Amino acid sequence: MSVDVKEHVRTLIEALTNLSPSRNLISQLILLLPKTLSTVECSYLEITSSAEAKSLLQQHLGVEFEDMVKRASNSFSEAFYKQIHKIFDQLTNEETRSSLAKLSNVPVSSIPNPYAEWVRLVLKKLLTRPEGSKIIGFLRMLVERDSFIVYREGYSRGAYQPDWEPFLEEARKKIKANPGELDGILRFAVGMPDGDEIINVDRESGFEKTTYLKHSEYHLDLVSAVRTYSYSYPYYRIDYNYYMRRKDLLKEALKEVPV
Amino acid sequence: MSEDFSRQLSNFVNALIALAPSRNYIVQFLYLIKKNGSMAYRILEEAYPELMKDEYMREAIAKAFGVVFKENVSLDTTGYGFALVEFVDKVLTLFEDSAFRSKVSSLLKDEYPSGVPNLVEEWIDVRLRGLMSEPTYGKLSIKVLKEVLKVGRVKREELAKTLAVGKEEGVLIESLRLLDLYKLVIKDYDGSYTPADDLRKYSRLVEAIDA
Repeated sequence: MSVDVKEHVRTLIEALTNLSPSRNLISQLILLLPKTLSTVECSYLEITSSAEAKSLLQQHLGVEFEDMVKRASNSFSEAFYKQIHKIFDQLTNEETRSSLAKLSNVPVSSIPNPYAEWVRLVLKKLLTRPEGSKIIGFLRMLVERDSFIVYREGYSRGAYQPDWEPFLEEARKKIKANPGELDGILRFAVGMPDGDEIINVDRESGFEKTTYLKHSEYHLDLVSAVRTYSYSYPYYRIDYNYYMRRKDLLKEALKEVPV
Repeated sequence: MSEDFSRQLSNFVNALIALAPSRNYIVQFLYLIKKNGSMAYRILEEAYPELMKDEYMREAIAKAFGVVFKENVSLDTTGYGFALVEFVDKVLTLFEDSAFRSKVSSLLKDEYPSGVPNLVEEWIDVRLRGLMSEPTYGKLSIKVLKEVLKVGRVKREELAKTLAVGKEEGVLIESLRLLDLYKLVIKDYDGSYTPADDLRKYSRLVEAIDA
């Protein structure tokens, strides 16, 4: 009996899309953890108001409900959290989308983009915050750049100087944020203080390069950070740079934001 | 429980079920390659002709899922296919847990009146049905499985004698190869065969087959 490959590819894409946080509250909760219990109870009343729902999440999906609600290590929820990021990456990649379109015999434009859906949802959510328009203003400035030198050491005076702090100062003035507000904005736009995930480490004699993905509060995850250390006696260099990810997609979504 | 949570849970559970290798041909293809480490190109051509038939299809699969098509077909460990099937393993484990199934079944009893499926059992069932439909090796493969389950560990020579394959030694070799590819039996370093752990747990599925 012949198999309809197109149908199986479509079903697979549909399943992955339905698991994305823009379409499912359980996925959304798992993605956004850890959060305080009071925040979760307030934002996910549908889940937390039911003892059965809570027990399902706790006992089987590995969501720990204590003062902090978090994903248990080595649990289903932890594996699922990683999978959500993979789905975001997979269905955002143009080459992958084009291949999936070929396999399912549909136009590329009809392949769902869960990350793009999520970004639109997050932008709407951000606008409901008191500092929402400032976050949007900051994001608009951020997506105009490709990379930043955050920190460097071991260079001569004539070398390019770090431009991250000057950018932050310029942005802060432009969006009229005070320094305290800027810290909050950075959590949403760049990354949380404890949100760095090591993606890759390259090591060879006298050289080490570590790539991090910076996870932000709602996982827009727009920045990857690269730290390199190179050493050749008696010289050494340290570089710490930010590189923008998915900025074209965010730019498009920002156009729809009425601020 | 709120109606909204039921709807969310239903979508969540249905999407996870749709990822099972027993339900999706693409996942099945990726899952078998991952479980085998790599698979010979010519074997996959026979088993998955629709995916292997032309370069256009293979190229799209390679790009979308990180499948490396060489003499031995494998999954690029940095590609999406690899990450997907690693997650599918977690899904199978979740749906094998009877307490999970029982809880979800009671929460979604209208949608699943006979309970949510055990996806591990279902995957074994699909592989067994696949085996049985194999015109040349199917019948003997099932006999082999029954014998491996009965004795626990057995060498090919012993199987040849017990099953009285006579001149059909070649068919036995191919049957064992097929069972190993489907990961229903495990071939040990000393050449003996043992039942795969999941098959051992659901041996009744094999026992129920008339060989």
